[in-house]
Amino acid sequence: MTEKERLYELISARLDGELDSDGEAELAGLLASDPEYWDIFTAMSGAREALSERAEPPAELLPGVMAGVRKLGAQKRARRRRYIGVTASLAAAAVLAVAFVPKMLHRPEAGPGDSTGAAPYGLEPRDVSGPDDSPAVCIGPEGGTPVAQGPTDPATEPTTEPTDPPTEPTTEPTAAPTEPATEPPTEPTGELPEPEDGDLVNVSDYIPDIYVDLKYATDDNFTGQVIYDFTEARLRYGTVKKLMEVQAELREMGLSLKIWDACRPTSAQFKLWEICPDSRYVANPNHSGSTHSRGNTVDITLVTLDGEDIEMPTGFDDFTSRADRDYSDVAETAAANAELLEKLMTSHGFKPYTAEWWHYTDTVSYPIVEE
Amino acid sequence: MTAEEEQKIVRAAAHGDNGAFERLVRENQKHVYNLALKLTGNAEDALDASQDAFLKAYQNLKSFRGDSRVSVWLYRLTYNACMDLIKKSRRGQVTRMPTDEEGAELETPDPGPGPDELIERREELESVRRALNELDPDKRIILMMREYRNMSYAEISRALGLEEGTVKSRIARARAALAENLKNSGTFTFRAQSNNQSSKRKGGTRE
Repeated sequence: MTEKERLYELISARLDGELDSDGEAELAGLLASDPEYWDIFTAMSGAREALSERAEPPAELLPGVMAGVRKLGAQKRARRRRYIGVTASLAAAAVLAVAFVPKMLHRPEAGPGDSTGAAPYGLEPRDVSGPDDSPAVCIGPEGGTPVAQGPTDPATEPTTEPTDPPTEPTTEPTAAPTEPATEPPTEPTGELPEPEDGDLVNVSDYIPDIYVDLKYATDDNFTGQVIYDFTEARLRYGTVKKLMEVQAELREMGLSLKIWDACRPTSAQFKLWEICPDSRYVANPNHSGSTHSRGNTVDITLVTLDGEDIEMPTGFDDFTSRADRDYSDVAETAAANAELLEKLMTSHGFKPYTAEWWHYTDTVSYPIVEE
Repeated sequence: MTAEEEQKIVRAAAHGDNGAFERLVRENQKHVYNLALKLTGNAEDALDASQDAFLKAYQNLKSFRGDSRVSVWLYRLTYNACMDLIKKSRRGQVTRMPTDEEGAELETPDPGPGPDELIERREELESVRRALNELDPDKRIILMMREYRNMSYAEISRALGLEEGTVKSRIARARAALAENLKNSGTFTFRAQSNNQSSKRKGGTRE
């Protein structure tokens, strides 16, 4: 071994904290003998320092960033509302000029006392703390910060959002795309004939403030491909009525449902199977298929009334064990939020699927939808 | 996380999925924080710069084209955030500076790196990356395991199926090769001199 090779060994051992006192003395002697050795020592130490990523980021880094994100989001929405306020006023003036008649929304169970906005779908107003037996949990987007805001006027959200710029179509409610802010959804002037429970309907027609972000209508899903060409969430009317009740309870807590997937016709299931013919991930349409094809199954998550995501166990179509209903492997807030969703859905007649926290099937079954 | 997964997450985040953005932060926070720590030299500024970098990324998600990995993009944003922070704190320091020149010379705390020094540190880091990329793959891999992943000799020996003694000597040789590359480009030799100069300046010159 040459002297230089020995030097490399000694420096390397020192950098790893493995040099004993004899080694230290030997290294010191070598360094003193040649200035070039100092350069080598500096370069080896400096390179190690430059490459290592040993420091753990402080715990406050992530919450700090996410708090900033929410603040920026709120500012963005405030700016947008100002813009919407102007366009809505103009729209309202135009609408009045032509004696606009608001679209008639059928709302089953709508009672005479529900025009206050506190219980828009015929349910009794609830205490702002939510269901008496709901988990006393942190449901806020930030760990430990509840977002419950008390009774909220449901008229404000769905009627102010439709004029949003089209840049973020998937995160906004798809409801009432043409109505200006002047339409009070609590007081329709008439009613559509009530559908049969088995009729497939557009969910947003009956729950105007629900958020719809159909992942398979975009390439933002595990296949990376667009699976179907529609963006409306369709479900059996009987299933929608149950969702209305869930949404009404959530609204009282400052929350809303967001639909990721609803009725998936068999044709779409075949396309999904074509792309991913693996029954671990996709229900085989040649056998029993997916319950999504029955129009009584929904992939659903929670967001705030503004549509902002709150912490849930995973994103959509996560194939890890964190997506299942054993919430012991996810953050406390995420677990609490998933439990809240589960509690509300099951108490209103939905059956949860064990492997996916977002997947719920109406306990009432319906025939398969082919197209 | 693969580049493809990363793209999907960025797209989701750009469409308002804060959960997706949170995942990006989780995945990259160690990398960003360590870089900021090396550049600023103190934990407090490193935290501020890291948060600023992530928020800048959040505001520009839609302009991220995916030509590079998110980590590379964040590297640039982190460097800029550190630079902004240092410029800002330098400006603040001028206004707080004592009027008694002698007292100021003795008592002004170490102002930390200035913009020039920051550029120098960034160049150093980039030189090391370049020098690392020039190494043979076997040297590069073992070095990354040790320095970047912080794996012990035993862990590396299990991962590569080598005796611990062999791991030890291979790491020494890889470090030596990297140091030779750096020494030839004058990277750390230059730093040693410049540090001496800046320590001479310290206390005497304060902007």
